[in-house]
Amino acid sequence: MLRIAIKMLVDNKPRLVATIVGIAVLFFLSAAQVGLLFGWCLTTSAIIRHANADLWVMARQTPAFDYGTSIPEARIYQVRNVPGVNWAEGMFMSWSIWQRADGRRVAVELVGLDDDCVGGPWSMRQGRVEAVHLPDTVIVDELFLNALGVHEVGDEVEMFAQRAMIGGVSRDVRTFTASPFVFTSIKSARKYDKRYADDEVTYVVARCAPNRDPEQVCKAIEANVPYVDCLPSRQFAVLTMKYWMLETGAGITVIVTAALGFLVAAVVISQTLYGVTQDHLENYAALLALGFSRLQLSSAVITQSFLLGTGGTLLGSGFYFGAARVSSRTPIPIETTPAIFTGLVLVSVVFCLLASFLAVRTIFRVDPGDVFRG
Amino acid sequence: MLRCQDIRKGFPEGGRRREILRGVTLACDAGDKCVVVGPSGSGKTTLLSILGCLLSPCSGALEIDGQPICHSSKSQMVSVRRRHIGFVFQHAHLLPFLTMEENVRAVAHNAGMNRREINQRIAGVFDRLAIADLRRKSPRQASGGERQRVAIARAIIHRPSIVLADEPTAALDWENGHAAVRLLCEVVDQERAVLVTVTHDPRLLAFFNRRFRIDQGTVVEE
Repeated sequence: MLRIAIKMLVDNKPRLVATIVGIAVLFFLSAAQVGLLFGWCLTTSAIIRHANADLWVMARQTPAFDYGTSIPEARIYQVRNVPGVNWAEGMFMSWSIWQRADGRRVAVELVGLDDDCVGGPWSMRQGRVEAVHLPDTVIVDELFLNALGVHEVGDEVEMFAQRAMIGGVSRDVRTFTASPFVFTSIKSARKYDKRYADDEVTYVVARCAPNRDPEQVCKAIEANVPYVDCLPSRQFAVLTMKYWMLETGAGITVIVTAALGFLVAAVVISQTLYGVTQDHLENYAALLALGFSRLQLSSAVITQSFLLGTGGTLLGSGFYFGAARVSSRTPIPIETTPAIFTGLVLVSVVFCLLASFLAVRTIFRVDPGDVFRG
Repeated sequence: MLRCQDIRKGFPEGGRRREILRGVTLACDAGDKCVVVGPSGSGKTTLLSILGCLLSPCSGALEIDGQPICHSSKSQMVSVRRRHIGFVFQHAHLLPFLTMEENVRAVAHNAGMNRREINQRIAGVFDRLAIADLRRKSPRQASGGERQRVAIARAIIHRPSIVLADEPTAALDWENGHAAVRLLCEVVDQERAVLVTVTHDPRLLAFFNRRFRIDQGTVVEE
């Protein structure tokens, strides 16, 4: 029956090719949307995930990493005194205006690092992260050199009328907000955003003592340190992702587009299979008369659906990995994990199988007696 | 081999029931070559559909190869069609996307024959029907006569006990039709099967050793 199913499908080659290409494009659309969503989630939480900290202490009701507000620097010392905390230091996060040499201004996210540079860039193309502690020195990412109007280490710009010199160039530090991250020391950062007092920071990042549960330590911090919220890194990353993906609506748009992609792919397959089945009604009637069961014929239709889905998904995967490769060096990467990609393939194949419903229903309406009616 | 007793069949028509078969009784043994003739609408195709387990009678009993057919059991009807019945249709109804050989092979395979048996059988049957050169051809490339000969091969490949042929010459010219029926009768004779053919063409009657006339829902042997 498999041979019959395949040959029936291949019988009309232009339709077969058009269907597989259609499914491939729709799979690519859906997978790319999910890949973008995943890439955005990784981008929004990148600094938190790469900070190698267990806990983040912040002003109450902080909605996301990018919107932290000031807390007294004294909170660092208070956190260090909480039982279960092994290490803690400050971190500065604010928005500033970067003035290029040509006079154009660019909004940037300013990240001020403490002594251990926790929360700094995790991959450097040029220079070292520790360069942020040099006077008036900043690190920017290679993806945004053009946007920031600089080219290499040693270039100079201004932020809030203060001199800033490029001391290093990072790699793969993207931003979701379109405002590039600029890393410097906490001390320099306060100069570049005058809204912060000299004794204020945005976050206290901390590590727990060995074998201590971050959630329990967070509760202890909230009980002992006034006016702060404390979140384990994972929760803070999720909070930030949720803020950007759900509260701004960006993620929902992407999810809806991905779902629509799968749905349209299912409709395309459904129409094709229905068309193929309708074209071969006479042949199905003959097969029924010759002793093939409806179950066998239905399995042929489901096999055809599976083959169409698999063909389209394979081709679409090729498009997807090509696009992912091209986008990997851009500010908007299409990313995935083996688990997510496998999930996408499974969803695609399930949709394809569901699409065979109409055609299978047709099989159950074929009358084998039709072969006697000419 | 083929027994039917008091088969009745009717269809609803315009709010009342139209009786097509009014108690058909037949008994055919191996080697019988039967032809059923009768005017259009007399119930020839309905009778053939019932004998071929494609249609259930309203009442009556059918026995094929000594096996009573329970028309309420669809799986039994499929199984009987698969193993015990061969069909030759008016329009050969070969699957156009398969080669001639694949068309025949599919039926043999579905009947449960193994690959070796199928290969031997196909070689023998194709030789006997002089269609060995058509094996790799598509039905689209073949003439009506060639297609009908392959349809005969398909009908007998799994050694059915009954071969049912519905107007096997209607889509062919006289020469090809005549040749097809002669071949059909020959191979069915060699296979010791029962052949039941429905035809309008009185010139073909000479090929059959049993002739039935169906009229007003009843069958009479002539």
